[in-house]
Amino acid sequence: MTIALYPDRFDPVTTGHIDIARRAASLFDHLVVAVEDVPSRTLFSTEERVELFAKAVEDLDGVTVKAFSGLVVDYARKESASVLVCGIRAVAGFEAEFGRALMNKRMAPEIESVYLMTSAELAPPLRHAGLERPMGGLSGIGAAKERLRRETS
Amino acid sequence: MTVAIFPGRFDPVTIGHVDIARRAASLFDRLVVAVYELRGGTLFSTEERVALFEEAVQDLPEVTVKSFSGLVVDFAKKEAAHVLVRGIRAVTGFEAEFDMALMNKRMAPEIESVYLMTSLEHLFISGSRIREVASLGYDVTELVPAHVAKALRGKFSDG
Repeated sequence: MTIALYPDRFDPVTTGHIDIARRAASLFDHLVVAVEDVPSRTLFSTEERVELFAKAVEDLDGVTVKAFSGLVVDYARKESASVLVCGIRAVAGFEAEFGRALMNKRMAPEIESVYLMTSAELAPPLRHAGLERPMGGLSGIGAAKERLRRETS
Repeated sequence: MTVAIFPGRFDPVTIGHVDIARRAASLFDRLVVAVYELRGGTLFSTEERVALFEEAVQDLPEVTVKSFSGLVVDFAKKEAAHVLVRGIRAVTGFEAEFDMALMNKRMAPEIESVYLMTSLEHLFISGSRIREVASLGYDVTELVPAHVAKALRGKFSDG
């Protein structure tokens, strides 16, 4: 039973993230989407970020979404995950990932970092897609918050 | 049952390649090391490259080594593999990989390309560098499996 962990801030979850989650879920027995509970300012609260991702993948079997804090490798061990999944968008994203992968390997040699390439159509920077593309009069972020409010009230 | 393929030229297999194969084999049910058939232009023939890799992974029962020609994605489909594993050594290797991954995804969207980061200690080891320094007399014993170092000595010795 191979459990994979997909950690990130997901502030908020984008179509690129969902694509990676979907593909990772098809590769491994179980995927834990690990939403970083960080002390620094995020646009969405931890609870909101977890809720948004959970909604986005509710149709997928074998995926759970949880919040965590502290070192990714510590949380991976807690979840019995032997794999860390990361999405790489383009060459620019890679340098940071490389250093991070080696550090994680240093801290937890038994955990394998595995990289998936973002799909071509999603390759342009998507982290702020919600901020830049208005959706029916509301900004993406506004629309996401509105949807969250509607669906959780 | 997840079958992954690990394609490459492996001319010859290095300890970096073996490390990637080992790690990939622990992630998936079966691994097929796919040695690309190149007619000419390689130091070791296809048969030699397959044999050298086989010996390097003989302790891994879930790994088989085969040669192939044509498109990687076609070979993957033939092997019922839907994962394609590659190791990334450093930033310089990445652009070509990214390019290749997108093309492979275009040709076979059901096949997932998965990348493993090379270990720090293997970062500088590539087939081409090994061939180069070995041809100039450097003893690459610790950079390739022992039987490969021997095979390289055989290729470049005078006798």
